[in-house]
Amino acid sequence: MCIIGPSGCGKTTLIKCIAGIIKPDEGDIYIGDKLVNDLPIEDRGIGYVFQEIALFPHMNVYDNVYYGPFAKGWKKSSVENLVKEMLNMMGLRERIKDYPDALSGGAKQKTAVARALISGSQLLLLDEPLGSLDAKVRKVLRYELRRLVKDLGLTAIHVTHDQEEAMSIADRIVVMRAGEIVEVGTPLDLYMHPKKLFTANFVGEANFFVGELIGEEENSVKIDVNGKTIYSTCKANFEGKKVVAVIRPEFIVIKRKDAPKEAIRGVIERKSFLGASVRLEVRTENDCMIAVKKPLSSESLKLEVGDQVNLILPRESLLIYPYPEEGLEKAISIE
Amino acid sequence: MKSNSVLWLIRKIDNISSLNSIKCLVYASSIIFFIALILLPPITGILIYAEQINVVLYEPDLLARANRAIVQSFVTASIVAILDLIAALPLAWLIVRSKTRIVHFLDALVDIPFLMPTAALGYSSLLFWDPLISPGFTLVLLLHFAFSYPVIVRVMVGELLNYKEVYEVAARTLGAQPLTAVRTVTLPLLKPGIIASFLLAFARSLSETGATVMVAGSWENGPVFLFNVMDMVNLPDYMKSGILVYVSSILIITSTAIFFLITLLAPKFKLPIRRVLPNIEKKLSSTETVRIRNALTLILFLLIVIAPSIFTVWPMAYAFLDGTLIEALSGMDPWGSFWRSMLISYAISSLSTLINIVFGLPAAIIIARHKLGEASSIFRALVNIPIIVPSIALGVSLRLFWEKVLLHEFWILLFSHTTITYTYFVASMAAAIESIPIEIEDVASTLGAKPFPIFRRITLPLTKYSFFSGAVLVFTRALGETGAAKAVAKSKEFWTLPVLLVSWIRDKSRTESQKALGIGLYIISSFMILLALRFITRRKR
Amino acid sequence: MPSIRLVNVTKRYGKITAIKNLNLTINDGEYVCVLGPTGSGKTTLLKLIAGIIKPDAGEIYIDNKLVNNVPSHERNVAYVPQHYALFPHLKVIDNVAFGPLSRGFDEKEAYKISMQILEMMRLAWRANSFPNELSGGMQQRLALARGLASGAKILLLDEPLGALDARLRVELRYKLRELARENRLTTIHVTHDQEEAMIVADRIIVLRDGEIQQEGPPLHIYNKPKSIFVAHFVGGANFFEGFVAESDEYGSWVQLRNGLILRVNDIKPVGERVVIMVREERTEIIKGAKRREEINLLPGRIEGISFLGDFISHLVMLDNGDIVNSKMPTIMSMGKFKVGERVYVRLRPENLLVYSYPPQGLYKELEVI
Repeated sequence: MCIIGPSGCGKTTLIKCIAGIIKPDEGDIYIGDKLVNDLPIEDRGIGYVFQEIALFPHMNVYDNVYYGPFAKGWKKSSVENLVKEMLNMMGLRERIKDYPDALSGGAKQKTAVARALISGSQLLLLDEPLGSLDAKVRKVLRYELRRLVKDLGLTAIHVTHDQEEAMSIADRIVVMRAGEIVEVGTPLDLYMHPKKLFTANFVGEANFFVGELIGEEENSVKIDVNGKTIYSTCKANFEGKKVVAVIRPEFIVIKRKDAPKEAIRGVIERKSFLGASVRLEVRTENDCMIAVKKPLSSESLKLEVGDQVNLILPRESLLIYPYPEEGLEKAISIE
Repeated sequence: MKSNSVLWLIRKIDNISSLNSIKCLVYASSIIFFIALILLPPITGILIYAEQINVVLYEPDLLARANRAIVQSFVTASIVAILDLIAALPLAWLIVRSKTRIVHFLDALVDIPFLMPTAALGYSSLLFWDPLISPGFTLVLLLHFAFSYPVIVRVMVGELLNYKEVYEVAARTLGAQPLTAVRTVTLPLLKPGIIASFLLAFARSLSETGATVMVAGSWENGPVFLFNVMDMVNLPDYMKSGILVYVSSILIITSTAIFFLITLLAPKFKLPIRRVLPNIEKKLSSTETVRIRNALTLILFLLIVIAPSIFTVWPMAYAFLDGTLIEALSGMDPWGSFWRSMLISYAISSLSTLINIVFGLPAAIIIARHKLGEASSIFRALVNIPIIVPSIALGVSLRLFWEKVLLHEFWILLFSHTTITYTYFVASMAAAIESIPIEIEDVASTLGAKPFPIFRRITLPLTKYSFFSGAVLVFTRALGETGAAKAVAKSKEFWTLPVLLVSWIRDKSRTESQKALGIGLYIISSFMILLALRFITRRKR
Repeated sequence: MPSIRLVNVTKRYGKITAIKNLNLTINDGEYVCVLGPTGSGKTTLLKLIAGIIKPDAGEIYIDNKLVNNVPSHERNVAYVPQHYALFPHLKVIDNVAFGPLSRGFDEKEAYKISMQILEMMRLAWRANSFPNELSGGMQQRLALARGLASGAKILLLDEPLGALDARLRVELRYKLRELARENRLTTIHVTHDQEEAMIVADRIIVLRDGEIQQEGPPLHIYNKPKSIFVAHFVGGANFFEGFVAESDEYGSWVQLRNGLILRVNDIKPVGERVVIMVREERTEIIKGAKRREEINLLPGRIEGISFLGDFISHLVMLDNGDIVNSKMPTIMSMGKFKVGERVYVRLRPENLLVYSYPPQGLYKELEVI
């Protein structure tokens, strides 16, 4: 399970409470079926990987990884094989005698994970375990991390500020903000059908339109946005006419000609290239700025800044939310 | 509001600071100062008189006595340092880790022996332990234990505050009991601090003269022996010089050797981390055990460190009320020489502080920013020598050197005090400058600021606290220095206050009230200066 | 809008050569990203241009003037180091005014300029706060404001978004680009994040161990990487090892592990050991082969599926033992495939790039960890 949220949302505090590093002011924590409120850290049976990695500088890789069993007084012979196997699995066999300051970022990370796993805990708490690594390294290691956890049959709570990381490896994601849980769901659910506006903005990119419900038409609701009508098959089961309509950039269809009546006309103002896709910013006839993403292809490459285009917002992809009390900007702001 | 001329001067300095020639000049003069005034004089002083050592062979009794004294110095210093380490570490731990309010009070208490001049500490201890323990080895041990204790607490508190507790927490998440985590992870990582505090306590015990003389009785270590020799009237001068040079050189060489040995070897020394006994360690980590440990620590602290230090308050109070104070203020004999000595002490201390700031600042920058490349670490090690070496031995060598240069006694006194206190300011500033990430100075440079403006607008404001505490350290150390002052002063005219007070304590013709008042006034005056300085630093923080 | 030129520049730190014989030209007003892994020399490069360190060999020209002996306080560049290095003891406004004051502006003028810049950065309302009271995004804006206040036209950014949350990074990268454009700055933006570089850069320079591997516009680097390292570092790629079995006037046939054969459009000598690269999003997966005779259809089994938002990543274990990653747009592949399903991987020859097998082995060449 991944916990995501902006800086200061409380995700680290949360897992520190679970670990027993911080004591909650109120409430109860159960691990398994045991109430652990009064249990000290060392008795909770958890493995923790710190954001700052925290490998013991005065011990080499082997001693670091072996520390858990050593500190618990286990017999050396019973664990030796396990430790060697874990180190092999992590690709650290050649680094056994190295000290932390001689290791690369990725190797340090792996050692920290290995160390937490060997202690035999069933619950793994990871605080930004890939945070200090290069973008490329992060992308490669995150899958290894998940595979390891699954292979060993453990439960893992993985805190990260990187929603792409969470999406790619989590079974379920918890979205937090300002000390509260905003939403919980599978990556797919949070991306396709976010229940809250904040989630829609935090997980992946989204376009937001402020408009007014003006009626219904053949299974769809009609929303007026600055004079242009858009349609959604979402059920607007809430009070009030003011709404926010949300659609992800990659769902928008873009056509040069032969556009249906409900298409929105606009001009491409900006174009950027994201590797596997192209991102366009279109200024529409009703004075909105819409972001559109298309996979890289000969057609998408032909679109240039200044081109007149027609945008079609598929009705099933347009989500509707009641307009938030605190205003749209505050509701979705990440900072 | 600065006047125009000051602004003009600052602007001029700002502009020339980017010139390579000026930069070289500043750093070079600081290095030359170090070599000419700090490093060479003691070495040269000893070398000049080296051949005089032969004379001691003609006085085998004196020689045997000298050798015994030297051995006693190192034995006492070792015992004191180890005992202090064991006793003070738990207090430092308590101060840093405890969440109660009392610790602030404890923290302040720890400073008391620090703030008092050691001569005063000696007198206070003498009175406190009498008649249970009379002057001799035991009393010296208790005294040294008391005044080295705060040093260790301060250093270890600093180390513990800098220590990243996450390592200990990580150990516990891996299942280690608190005690296990501390002894297998925290303590090994605190080794540099432990070694440093051991060496500091060791150095202090080795070097302290004034108080030790007061409580030594007939026992002798190096400094006490030297002090006694200087007072001997029936010894010919050449013999005196000979034995002084002999003992001083041995003390200097041995202490330097021991320090460098320990500094080089101790980090490599590893306590083999043997087996862990989780059940026992769990019990030892329990709250009851911790409470007992804390109670013992506090009792030891209050009884052996604090109480003897402040005991002098009683006799001092009496002295205030029984007319001795009026006598003192009127300047009657012997108070005339008292006030004169106080004046000399303050003059010397203030000037030493000033000189050390001016020449020590560039040295601190050289060390912190590695301006000499590889040689910077050698320089850093050399700068520590004045505190490693027993100050009375240093004083002996300095007098021998400066006498040859035909310097007036006041200047010799000034230079010796400057030499002995040099390290305090440089080390404090170097550490502070090092802690400022160099990117901040780099960025300031790209924004258009030349070296001197960067120093006064960025580096100095960010190191204000260390600047002032370094200066305060120099001042108080100079004020309290006894051994070197005794070695340098030939005539009573140039006795600094601590030297005068030591002679009073040993002088049977002084009344107890006079002694108590003298010590009392000494304490009060240094307290006041310290409070004033601390007030300024707190304001500016 | 000044230009920057480095000619045969070398910088050593003891035994390590951080920058090797580097030649680089950055034109007026260009926004260039220097992309590379940690330790590739990116920060050293910036420090050389800023004048914080001196090169051991070579010349550096700013605006066609040789600046090797010009100290950093005279170069007038806006240098923003990795964690900003804000002056903690000075208020926001004083941080910004530091530059103009150091350059000799009188107090009134300096503070006037500073307030203008703070307004542009939407920080004027925090002018009297201290840096540690600001959020991450605001600190970054302050660092930029400070650099630009004395009128510098060259912006040197060392991982400017590195200290920020992933989501914030995405939002702010566009703003950074806009800032440079509006103020007509020549910018060098150093990063290890290739997605960031691709989005903001006019030109990307890929750096590895102090040497330039390739430079060019983002699209060009992405589509035509010159080396395996560049292909792997900039964007997701799949690699196949093999030997050239046959070749004709239109291309070659490469034999992979365990008998699989791929057709490529490159003409290579028979017997040469090669590596074939194909981008993840050009690695198609199809359910059944409609025409068995179609070339470059590799059978395999889906081992894992990851939902990435607008793309879905499928990990496929081919029958010959090779593993590939296929990235397809969510709208096209959602729910289409299941883990364990047997599929075909289709690779069009025009999407395949061929490289010589690297001397120290493929694994070492791809090693990023």
